[in-house]
Amino acid sequence: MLEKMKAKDKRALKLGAFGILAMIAFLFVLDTSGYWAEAKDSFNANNSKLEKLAAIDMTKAQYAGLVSVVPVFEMPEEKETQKFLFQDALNEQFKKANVKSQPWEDMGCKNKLLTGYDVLSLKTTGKCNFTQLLDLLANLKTNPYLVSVEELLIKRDPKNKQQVDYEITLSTPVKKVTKAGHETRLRK
Amino acid sequence: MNSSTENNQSVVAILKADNKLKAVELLKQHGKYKILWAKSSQENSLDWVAFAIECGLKVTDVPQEEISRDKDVVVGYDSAGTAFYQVHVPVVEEKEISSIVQLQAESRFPLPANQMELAWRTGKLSHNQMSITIAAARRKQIQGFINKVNNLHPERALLDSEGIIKVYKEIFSGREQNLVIVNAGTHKTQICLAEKGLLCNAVTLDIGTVDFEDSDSEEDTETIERLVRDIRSVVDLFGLEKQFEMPVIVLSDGSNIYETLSESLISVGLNARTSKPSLKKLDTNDTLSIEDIFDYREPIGIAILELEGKNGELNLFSSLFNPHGKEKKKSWIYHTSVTAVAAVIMLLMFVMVSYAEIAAGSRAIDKKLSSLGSEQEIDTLVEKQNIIKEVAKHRVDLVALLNEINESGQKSPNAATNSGTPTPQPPSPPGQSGIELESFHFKKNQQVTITGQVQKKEQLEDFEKSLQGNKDISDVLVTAKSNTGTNGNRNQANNKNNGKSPPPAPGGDTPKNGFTYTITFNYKDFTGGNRR
Repeated sequence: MLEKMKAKDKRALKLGAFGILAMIAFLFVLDTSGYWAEAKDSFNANNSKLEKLAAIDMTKAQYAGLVSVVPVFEMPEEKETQKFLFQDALNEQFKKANVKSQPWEDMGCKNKLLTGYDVLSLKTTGKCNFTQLLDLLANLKTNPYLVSVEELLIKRDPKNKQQVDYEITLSTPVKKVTKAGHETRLRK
Repeated sequence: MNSSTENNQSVVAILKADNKLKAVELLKQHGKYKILWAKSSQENSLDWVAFAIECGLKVTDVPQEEISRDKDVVVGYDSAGTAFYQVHVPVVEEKEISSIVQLQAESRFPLPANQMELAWRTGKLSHNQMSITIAAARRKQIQGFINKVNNLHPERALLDSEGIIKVYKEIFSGREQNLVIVNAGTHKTQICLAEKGLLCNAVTLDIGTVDFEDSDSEEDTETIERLVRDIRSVVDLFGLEKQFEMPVIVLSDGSNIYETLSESLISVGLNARTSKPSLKKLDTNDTLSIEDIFDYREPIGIAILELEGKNGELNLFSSLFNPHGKEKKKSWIYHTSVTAVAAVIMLLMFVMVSYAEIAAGSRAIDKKLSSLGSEQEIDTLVEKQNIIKEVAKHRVDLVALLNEINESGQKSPNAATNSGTPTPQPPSPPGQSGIELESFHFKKNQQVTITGQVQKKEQLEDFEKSLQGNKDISDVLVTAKSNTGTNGNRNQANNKNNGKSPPPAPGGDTPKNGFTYTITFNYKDFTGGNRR
């Protein structure tokens, strides 16, 4: 076959072979310089990040809706810490709304929020002006530890119609403590 | 082929002469011709392909443009079947000559134009007249010849008579430009007329040297006399102005037979002489003798024509034969080598551009993602976002619910007729409309329960309808009891509220002739037990 080729074709083949060798050399240099491995690692890491971010991707409207319902939020801590922080924030809010309340009663963790997170409920009772109670309810969403109002009972005071008796149960997320978590903490 | 000249590319010329196929390979070096080899077939063995193979040429069916070799091949066409005619026409432009030739050919040759192949060449100018040499041959005959030689992939096909004139000029050292050449072969004799060194006419006679080689034989003497008469007639036919002065050259290898022929021609009044090949223009290393060179004069002639390149030779083959893609040569851009080089360059560029793009893109993405934090931070961010989404699903807006209840009470058509019962502050239970709210109970996964009092049963009905019209409220059930003792229960259905129900309103505070009511309903999907 080579015999049939003209000198020009043979020269072209030589050029082609030279080009291929040049490419192989180019790739070899890149490979030995660790570029490909580095680029691959970087790509995988970036891809992983992007996949995670894609999972929480939402439209502006969706985000605005979410923020209107949950304007502030703090990542949950373990039960005792979270309970303390939640109570502290609630007391501030009750105080600000001028709503008197009894000490908080721990109703325990009855529900699960997500894998690794339970819902702790705290209950209190008291007596206040209905408007004050409404103010309190309206401002509860600014509590960064709140999940929701689990129960609310309002009864009007028959003697003073401006006054109401209330019972309210509020919930907060708590981080479940795994055995590994304990062990880690112990080692620390 | 011009490129053949002085570039060490040789030419192989093959033609039929003396009932044989003859071939030579000729090379031009330093102004001299070198015959590399010469070969002839057995007499009457006229298979072109077989002979070409014997000569070491590649004979294939592949397209001509794919053939690659370091030597050109040229084939000679026997002029015996070709008619020549010379016409004189007024000087016209080149493009008009074609139609003139067509008209002349149709009127002078005994064949229709579609059965003829024509070639022409313009000659000398005199008195504003231009001579045109026209050659014509049967198309069928030309096609038959092409079919025989096609697999040899020749560069060109040439008339052997043109080769005769060329070989006389180059090898026989002929100086005359205008002459008649007598080329006596073994079985035929060609008489060629040349003007300014170019073929103008040619006639082939069926008498060859074998017919008169024995000068002592009476029969042969008669034959030679007949030949001489025929040659004289041909010269007359050429219509030369001064025919007796026109040199008539008998090509010769030096043997007596040609001398005899020459003398005979002189005897009939022609200016005849013999001419032998000269070694002046041949490489001295040649091992071929004068006789050998003479024997191969025709192929040598067309080989020289090919080595010198196209010089206006009469081409009867142009419409039927496209040797080596000359006339329809593909553009250089389609050449394999160009394509291959372009492909390699593109491939190289592709790899480099890809590399640059990947490198730049990767760096840009790295930079952007790095600004978002580490992977752990992104994990935390994602987890937080997921918790927020879940919290949003769980979070109930009780202020909105109380507002909706209040609005439902105010929308009641009979609300305006109520007496001014004391009411809580807005957004209050619907006391302003005469519908007083005593208690409100919300608990997830249980129906909302509200209790209170109304003065008129219609108010309660309106309140119920208004609640039912609210898109967030469903499954409204109303239980009413007359404060005068009449059971005002409007509902047949059982109250589904299995939780803590607020107690009925204190009796002491109930308006006279009014009703105490209990309403249960579901709010969105927080209380229906279908979410959690």
